[in-house]
Amino acid sequence: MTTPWLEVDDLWIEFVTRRGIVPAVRGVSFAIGPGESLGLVGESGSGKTVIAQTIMGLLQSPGRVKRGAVRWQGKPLGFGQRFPRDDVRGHDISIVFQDALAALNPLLPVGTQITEVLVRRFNLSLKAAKERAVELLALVGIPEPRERVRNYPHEFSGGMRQRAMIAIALACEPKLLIADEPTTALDVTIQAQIIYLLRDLQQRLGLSLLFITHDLGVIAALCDRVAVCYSGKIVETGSAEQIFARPAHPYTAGLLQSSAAREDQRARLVGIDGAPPDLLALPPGCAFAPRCSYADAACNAGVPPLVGVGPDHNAACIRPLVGAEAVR
Amino acid sequence: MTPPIVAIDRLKVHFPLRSLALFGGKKRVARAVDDVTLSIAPGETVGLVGESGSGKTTLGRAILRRVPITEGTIRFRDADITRTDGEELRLLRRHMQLVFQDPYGSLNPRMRVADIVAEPLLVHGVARNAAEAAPRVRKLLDLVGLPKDAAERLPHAFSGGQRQRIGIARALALEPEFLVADEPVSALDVSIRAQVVNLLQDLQAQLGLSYLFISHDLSVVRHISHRIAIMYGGKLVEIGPSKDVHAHPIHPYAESLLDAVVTPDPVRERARARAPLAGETPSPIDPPPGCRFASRCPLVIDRCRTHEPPLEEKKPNHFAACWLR
Repeated sequence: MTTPWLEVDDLWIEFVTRRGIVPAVRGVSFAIGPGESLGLVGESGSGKTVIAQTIMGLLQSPGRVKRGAVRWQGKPLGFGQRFPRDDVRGHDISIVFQDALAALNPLLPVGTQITEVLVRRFNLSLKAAKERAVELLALVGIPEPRERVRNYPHEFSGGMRQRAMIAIALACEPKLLIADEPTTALDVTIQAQIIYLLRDLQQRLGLSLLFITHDLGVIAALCDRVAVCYSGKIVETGSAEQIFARPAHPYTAGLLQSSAAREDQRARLVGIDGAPPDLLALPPGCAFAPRCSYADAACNAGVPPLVGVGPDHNAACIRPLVGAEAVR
Repeated sequence: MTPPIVAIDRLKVHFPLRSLALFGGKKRVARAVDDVTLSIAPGETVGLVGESGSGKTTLGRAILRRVPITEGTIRFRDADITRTDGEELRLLRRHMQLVFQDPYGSLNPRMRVADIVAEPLLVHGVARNAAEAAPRVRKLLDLVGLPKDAAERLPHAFSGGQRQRIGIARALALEPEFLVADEPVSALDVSIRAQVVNLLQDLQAQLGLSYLFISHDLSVVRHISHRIAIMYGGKLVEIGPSKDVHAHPIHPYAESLLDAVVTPDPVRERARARAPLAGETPSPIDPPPGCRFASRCPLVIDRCRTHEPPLEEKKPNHFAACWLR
């Protein structure tokens, strides 16, 4: 096997709060290879965004990495309050955020926000950078890019802003693009456009993609592999085909059922009872046990490790779903 | 047929924009809701779907008389409420209530849950003080599935789904017949949404409520609605039985909208070769003549750009506004 580009290895992240130390991420590991797309799925509080921030070196106090490592092509990356600047983040890895309006500088034309990156990264002359900025806007499908480079973010619509964010992220010619819920704030038809754009860019540029979302539909459209996050742990990983057709963890199965389109209109919608646990008062064993209809006393005995349940398919459950249970 | 509980007829809500009129410029108008006719039967749920800027929220607020009406009429039960005001409007509000989207922003963080739910009772003089409201509050919290001790706590002690239950309890306090639920589950996690949707359905069965369920999430709308109405650029472009609209959409926009929904099925999603609908929702300010969807429509013909298609019954109970279908 070739060395993966990005490796996240037994990452633990905690937040120091007045109420206590919140274990937001508890021993998460995954790897992304060249050209691969991994979907990190989870609901609010699952730790997915904190993982992305840590990979980018953007984790802020009171958050801190307790232990674990993030490696790029085998080389460990720093984090913490004052780690030395590296030439990976913003070069080989870049990120697209959910809220493009908040992420863009409202006082600078969009073009300037792209040329900034180009001048810094590639030492381009301002003129060459401007030319390249127009190319990048065209690449992400912004019409009339030559005029649009001069526009300010507020002159762009939501979908166009997200495209501009992607153009900025691509300016440094990254190998890995992290996308943190980039379509969540968008309308359905605009979301479809952005998904289409990301898939197209991934194929054309050979990008690796770490796609973070709560929406399993988006993952199905974009990702080869899936990692499902619950209360700071990955509870299931595998190929998209495996996970969607044969979910092994009851949480994954519940999530799939919740988001499945119901044919039977007046039947009850299936969700998952209860709510995710307070991270300050985690159950002793499996964090999902209190909401799990399959749970028994053994589930509270210890935190279940990720174990193989099939080829390239792992689940952190002592009694993973098999056969008919897993089939939707 | 039973008379509708809510009937709106050729409703227009236009917002004048502060413009450059001072400098001799033309007065501009945002046509948020433009000539919409719609009725809701007792015990019925109409799902109202549209993208941001389509006018769906404004339509919901207009029915509740929370935005000024430009033209057209709104009838509630048998009364014309288009121009109702003052004390009469205040009394009317008891019968029609709103469930908000954001369960974090819509509850006062300093008020106990009991006081939040009791507030409408006190405002409308149903109860004279908190003590008098207490039994009713207990009943309401029980109705929406909140634990008994919830009454004494503050909103921050509750998760998003539970907060939405508090919001629903408050909306139900005055025993309304009609609820406008504006994106009531959009802010909730996927696994929690079902709890709130099921609660709304149970309450409808129990209390005979009518809903206008506003959402951009077609899968939820399809599940909860008897009929689906689709808005685009301030216009109603399609309305029909939920199943029909889903299985056989008529308007090209309805088709694109349904097509744009991603499903958790990698095989289906990978096979999707077609490029999604291009372009963006048009501005409601001074729209061009003709069909509002003409600029994005893959089937557009010349006539669409000059003449506005009327909403017509294309199949039994299934209406659409399109020249071509």
